[in-house]
Amino acid sequence: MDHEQELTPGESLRLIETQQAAAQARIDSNPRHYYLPWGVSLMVGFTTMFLYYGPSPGRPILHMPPWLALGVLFTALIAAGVISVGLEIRNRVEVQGGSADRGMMYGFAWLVGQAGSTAISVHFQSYLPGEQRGLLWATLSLAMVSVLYVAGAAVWRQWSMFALGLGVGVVNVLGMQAGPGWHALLVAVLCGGGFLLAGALAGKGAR
Amino acid sequence: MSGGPFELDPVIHAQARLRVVATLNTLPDGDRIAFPGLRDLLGMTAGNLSVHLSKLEEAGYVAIVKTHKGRTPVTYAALTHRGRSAFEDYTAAIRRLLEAAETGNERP
Repeated sequence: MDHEQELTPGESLRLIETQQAAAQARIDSNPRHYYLPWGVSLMVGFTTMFLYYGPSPGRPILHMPPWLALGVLFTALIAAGVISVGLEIRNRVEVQGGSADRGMMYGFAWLVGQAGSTAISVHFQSYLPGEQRGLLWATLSLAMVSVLYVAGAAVWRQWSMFALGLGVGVVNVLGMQAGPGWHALLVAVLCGGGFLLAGALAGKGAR
Repeated sequence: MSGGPFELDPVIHAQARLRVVATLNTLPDGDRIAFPGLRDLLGMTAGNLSVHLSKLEEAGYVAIVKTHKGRTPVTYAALTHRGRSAFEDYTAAIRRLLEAAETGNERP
């Protein structure tokens, strides 16, 4: 209270810097909460898809029913979503106003994007041969992820998010040209690895 | 420390209130923080934080909004424009004091 010991100017400045850094870390979204779960999920899910497809059509590395491969992929993606949102909710403090509105609208952008890409895939998949169907789902969904990461980076001016968005976009298109198996492998290694690296670097910056 | 370019605002220049103002200043203009979140960030008791927020509100530095979320009452706090500008003046003043001390011109 007011009878506290008076601070020297140096102490005041240090107190301001320490307090603001601690507050900023809790008020802002922590990128590690997203990058690490999504890195693991992309790596596990798309490695499973690569083992299922194999390097060329009809030559799987590991024989498994399609429901199992897709089950692993979707479970990994859903788990990443639940873990990242759970970590954010647990750690964040409630703020009302422009930032909360931006966050809410951005959340809806994901919902609209993924619902749209799912509807398009469902509509067109019957016109495609077997393996190309899976490729349509994966590429459309990752194209949406790429655009939303770049857009999110523009909203919050976050360069790691911008780099990841661009990276996912490039890997997705190159992988699509190479075919379903290579697409899955490239996404697992480059995108999964990229997210894990970004998560590790974000943690280093936070310390 | 009174008068002239080295004057420090007595409302802000108290450790606990300085922490409150510094924390609120990290919010972008137009945002406000819920009372439990602010208490958590500062590690203060609810009573202690209320006392400091009241003093800052009296000085016109903080705006308190009491509302309801469903049936639960929620209190939000934010720096006013006056509070933000007072904090900027305060940090500028301590920087001037530090510079003056470094160059050996500090006033007694």
